[in-house]
Amino acid sequence: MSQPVLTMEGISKEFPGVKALSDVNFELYPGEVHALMGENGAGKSTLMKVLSGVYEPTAGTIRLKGQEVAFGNPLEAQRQGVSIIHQEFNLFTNLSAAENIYIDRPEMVGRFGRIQWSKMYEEAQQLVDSIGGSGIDVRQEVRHLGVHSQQVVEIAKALSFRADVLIMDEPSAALPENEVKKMFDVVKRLRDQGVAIVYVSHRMKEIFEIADKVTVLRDGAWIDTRPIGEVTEQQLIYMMVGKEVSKLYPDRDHKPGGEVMLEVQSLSLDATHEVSFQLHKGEILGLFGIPGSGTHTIAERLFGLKGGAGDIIVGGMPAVIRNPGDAKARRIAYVPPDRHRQGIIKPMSIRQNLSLPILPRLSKGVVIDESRVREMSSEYMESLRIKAPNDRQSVDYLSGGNQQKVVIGKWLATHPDILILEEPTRGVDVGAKAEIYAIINRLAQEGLSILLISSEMPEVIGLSDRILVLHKGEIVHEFAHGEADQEQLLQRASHPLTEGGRL
Amino acid sequence: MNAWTSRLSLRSNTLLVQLIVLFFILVLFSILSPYFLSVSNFMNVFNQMVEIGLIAIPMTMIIISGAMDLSVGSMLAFSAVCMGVAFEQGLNIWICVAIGLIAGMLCGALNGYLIARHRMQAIVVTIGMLVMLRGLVYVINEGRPISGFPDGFYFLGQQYIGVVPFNAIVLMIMFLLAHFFMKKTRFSTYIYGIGNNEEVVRYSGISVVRVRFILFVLSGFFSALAGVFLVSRLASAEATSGTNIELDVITATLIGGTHIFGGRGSLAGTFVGLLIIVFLRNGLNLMGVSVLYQAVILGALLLLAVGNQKFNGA
Repeated sequence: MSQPVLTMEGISKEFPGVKALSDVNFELYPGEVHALMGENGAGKSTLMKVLSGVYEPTAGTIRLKGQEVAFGNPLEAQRQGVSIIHQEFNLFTNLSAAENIYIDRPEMVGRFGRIQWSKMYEEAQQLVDSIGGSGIDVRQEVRHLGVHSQQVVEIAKALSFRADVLIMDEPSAALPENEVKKMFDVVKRLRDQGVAIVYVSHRMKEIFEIADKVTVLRDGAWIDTRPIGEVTEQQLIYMMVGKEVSKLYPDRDHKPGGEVMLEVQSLSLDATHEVSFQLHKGEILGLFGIPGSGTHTIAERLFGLKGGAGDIIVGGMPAVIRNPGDAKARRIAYVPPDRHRQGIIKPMSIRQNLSLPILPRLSKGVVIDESRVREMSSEYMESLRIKAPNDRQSVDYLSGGNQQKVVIGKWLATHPDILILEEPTRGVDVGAKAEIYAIINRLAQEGLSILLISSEMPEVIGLSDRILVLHKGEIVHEFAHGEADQEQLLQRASHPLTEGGRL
Repeated sequence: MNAWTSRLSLRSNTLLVQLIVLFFILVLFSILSPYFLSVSNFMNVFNQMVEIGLIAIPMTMIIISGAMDLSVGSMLAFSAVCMGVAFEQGLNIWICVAIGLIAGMLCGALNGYLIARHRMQAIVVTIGMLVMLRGLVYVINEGRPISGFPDGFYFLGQQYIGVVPFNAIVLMIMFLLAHFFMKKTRFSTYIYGIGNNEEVVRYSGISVVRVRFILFVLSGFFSALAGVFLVSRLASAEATSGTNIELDVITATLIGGTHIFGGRGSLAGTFVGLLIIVFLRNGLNLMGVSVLYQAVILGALLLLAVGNQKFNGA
């Protein structure tokens, strides 16, 4: 085996009051994809920030190509060959791809400060082509590019510094399911060119598909590094969580009732597409589709966030739902996909967040009855096991999993009959995921009817009694419980017309 | 945990800092001017701050909700002139007061309708109203002052109960009611919520449109009420009434610690901010400082107070 391109030894990083990393070792070889895994807060991001020059380590050494280095800032790290691609794209959407790739680079500036446009376009195109993006015109403004192409531009930007080490932080998070494969092709191509890639991800399936090695961190400490062939998913989860998560998905030991709680007839999603389906009492109905398939629009229509034609029948009664208030009155609850923007008010306390939708019920006249609020909030803190010192704590300081439980709690407090869950475990670590799945299952058993919309296939398959697959605004297939596997699901969602055929 | 407690203490410290500034101003002018520290001067100051103070109540709520109302001065004048014109038609003065208040609420409702229902920018809408209403005021009464109101009406702005001006008592009661309102009612939770994250409030099944609409109607009502008190105090309804009052109101609110980007602020803070600017102005007046320099000093104070407010910052 060749020499490692990068060695991190005994890396520690302390913040006031917190030890984010303690004595972490990490080795990276050219031409390998090295997955970095761990729960939220395990220290992955801190380690990558140390590596890319954002943070200075408190202790430890970094050697790049045998030389000891200390990066003062990310630009210095890039110049020496370590580039990072963040989860969120950092592109100027109103500039061309080429401008984004070579922004603020002296080598593209000619005499009298003139930008050498032709040189820039030429080199940018070469770079983009070399990683399989030959369909992309680098003169085009980034906002006209698709998500995958934007990511290619990000990667090209990182590589334009002749990167030896490329860090990819949750690269699939921003991509639709069907574009992940294309991203893998790019990663493989880079690997074959000898670039060492650190691949940070939560997604097990991707790790096993793309990585050569995996390193697990937990609570800021290095746990293990193994070739991917020598570990199982169970072992990885065990390493990450530190305890046995025996079953991520709970057993479904009940049958949903026959009573129809929600019936949707010819609900329009856009000008030309409409859907009809039924949701039974105590049923978990999964809705799966790639972005743009209409699953999100169904949630918006049912919750009154978007208008349109069609009938919504709740508990046998036709319902007119023009806004979220109407939906709430019909006992429909919606846990939205983006909790930061739609679910929680961060500076407010757990108690205030939990009580927000039901304040009229917790008031005497116009005055809020604090004792009733306290009672309600401690009830849900307990039943959902929201971990916080007390319910006056601002939700900003909770982990992603606990924040998500607050969003679920605030809607359970409305005593809904129908619960729409969209991406209920996005950005939540494995331990909290299992807890949330158990909660969802318990709620269904108690008779709540649940509409589960998720882009995580294992989640949809593991929890749903039935799965409806959507493609471009139409329901193209229905799977009964236990019928679907990931491959079939994805195939139905992306190519509904190739009956039973392989991709 | 650390960050949370430190932020909390920082926030309560803000009020403490404001009180210290106020105390400093009071002591400074007591030393510099022999006329400053007297009951009659203080009561005079209280009598004159009522209009700014009344409007500062809804303004604080509106700024906490992440919006702004620049049309308050014009709404004040419009209501005052509507009242005056109605009085000239021979109506009972209290009916005229009601007409003035209704006129203010209608202006506020128009602001609210455009901003809440049609999601237009509050600053743009209220600048439009500021200019339009002021023009309308000149059109209605052709620029001449209206006076000759009955004695009973002057009670509002000129009468003293003991040594305390009646209108200052009204202002105190209004502030106490509003303070209670902002501490205890669900409507206030919605206001803070909207200022922090409007989407979450909407996604919680609460009508953001209604809350915003009510706030602007409230602003119209309090501006009109301030107009009524101003006319009573000065014994005259004029087209220039309340010109630039929005600057004083917003300055008091922001010096009082309300965050310009919304989500944070309190009426207690606004009250202290109000006292800071009125006593500062009164002290400078007593010392014979020109109005032009007063503007420079107040502006500088505002920059100091608000300069460290950054988006999403402390």
